[in-house]
Amino acid sequence: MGDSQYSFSLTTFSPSGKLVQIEHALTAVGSGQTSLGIKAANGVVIATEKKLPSILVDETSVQKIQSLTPNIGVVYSGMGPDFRVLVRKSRKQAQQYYRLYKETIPVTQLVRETAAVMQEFTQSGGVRPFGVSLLIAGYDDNGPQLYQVDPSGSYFSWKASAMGKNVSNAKTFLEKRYTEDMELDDAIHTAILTLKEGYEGQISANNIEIGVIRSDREFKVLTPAEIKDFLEEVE
Amino acid sequence: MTTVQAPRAASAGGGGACGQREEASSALREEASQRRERRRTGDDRIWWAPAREVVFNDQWRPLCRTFLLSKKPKLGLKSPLRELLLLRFSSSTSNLDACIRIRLRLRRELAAAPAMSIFEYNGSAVVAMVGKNCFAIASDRRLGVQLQTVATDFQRVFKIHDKLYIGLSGLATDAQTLYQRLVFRHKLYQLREERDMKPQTFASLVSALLYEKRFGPYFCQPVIAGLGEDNEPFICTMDCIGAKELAKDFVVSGTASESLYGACESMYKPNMEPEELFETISQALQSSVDRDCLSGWGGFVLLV
Repeated sequence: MGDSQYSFSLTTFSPSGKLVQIEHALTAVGSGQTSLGIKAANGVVIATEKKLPSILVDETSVQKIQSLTPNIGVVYSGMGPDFRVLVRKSRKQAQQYYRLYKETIPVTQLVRETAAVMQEFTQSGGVRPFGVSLLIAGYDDNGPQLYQVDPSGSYFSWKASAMGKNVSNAKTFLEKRYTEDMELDDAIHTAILTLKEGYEGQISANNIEIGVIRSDREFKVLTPAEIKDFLEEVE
Repeated sequence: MTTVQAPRAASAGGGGACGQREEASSALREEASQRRERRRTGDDRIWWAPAREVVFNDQWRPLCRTFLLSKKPKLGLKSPLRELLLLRFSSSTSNLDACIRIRLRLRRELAAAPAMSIFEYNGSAVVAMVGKNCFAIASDRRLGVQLQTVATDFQRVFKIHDKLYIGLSGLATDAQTLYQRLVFRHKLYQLREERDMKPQTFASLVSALLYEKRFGPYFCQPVIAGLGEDNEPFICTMDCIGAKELAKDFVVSGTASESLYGACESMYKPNMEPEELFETISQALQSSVDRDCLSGWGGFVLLV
């Protein structure tokens, strides 16, 4: 393999102009569980499948969607432990901003800070890039927002996006279903349908997770009971 | 014969024949136990503060100076200076004579220094008032060195952006430095967030920057005035370590603050139109600086 001599040093470009370690990180993301997010007219929804290695695992103990501030939530595809590190760093960043300005951090700023951390880990010694992509959903003075942050540290604002396994299928599905004036409840339905599309097996209230933020600017992770209601509406 | 030779004994001028040494070390032990006892009973005043000759190579002078600048000196040495000296020399051997000499010297020094706060070194008067959908911020233009006037075109009110101004009373050099730091921080914020800071946000920033220097503060008392969202006026002031004081009507600071309080108290009316607000704030500033010998020489009024 021609690339192999370039696949150890994180910061050495291969002759084709790529940093292979980052490519590998993206591969890790690509084989992770599917997550998606949809920005609606009055809020944002993020959702992910929660496949567990064994039926013996207590599914209530797994929380793949986390809130960073009261008005910003995040979900990941890829490696769970890496995600926790990023969540911790982002939360700290948000609190530092609040301490300085006595004002909650805008979504763009938190995304930028988080992306900066991820970039730093592609260029520092003794570390490896994060094996996660993030979908960050928030609502602030600039309205509802949905961002995706990749291991390379690049970030994009999306109307709707997906990542992990079945990205391309999920994205095509979202492209077909998405409309600009979509209400949040419709968006939740679409999110469930998209997850269902690519899910191997039957989805239930316990093996998916959904987080929503509405114009009240309170990010909430739906309880299995609430998810169940939406699932029934979809069927 | 084994004698524990404390390093302190050398500085006490001891050391000679063996017998003398023993005597010296037992004296030291005695003294140390006395000192422990005094510390235990909280009775260790400067009178007994252990000291050595190093005291007289002027090492303590800077301490004394800072103290003089930052607080009105209190005689009798029940003061932070006492604490400093205690801390500084507590590990050395005691020398009663030296202590008495320090005491006398400190007394003389403190008595000779004029009772002056560093906040009053240059003299200043800053005031901000709220009107109906507008605010005004004003300051005097004098820069002095105590009673001597150096310049009469000094700027104490600075622009942060079109709808946000800050007036910095107190030590002029710190006012300028602080202004530079604030402009720097605000420009960074503008670049990062692509918007101007809200006055409330800016006030928090100033407060944070000042508190950062909690133990070596900028000798400034800022006054912040600006228009927030929907052109809602906002004014506030804070002390030199960033404790905010928000007000709905007016805020004052500087050497003329006492007379400014009086003037504003009697002249201020709520919901003034810009023209009237201008008159009021100008009159208030004028009459206040007339009663303060450290500020004056014209005024600067800004109406937004």
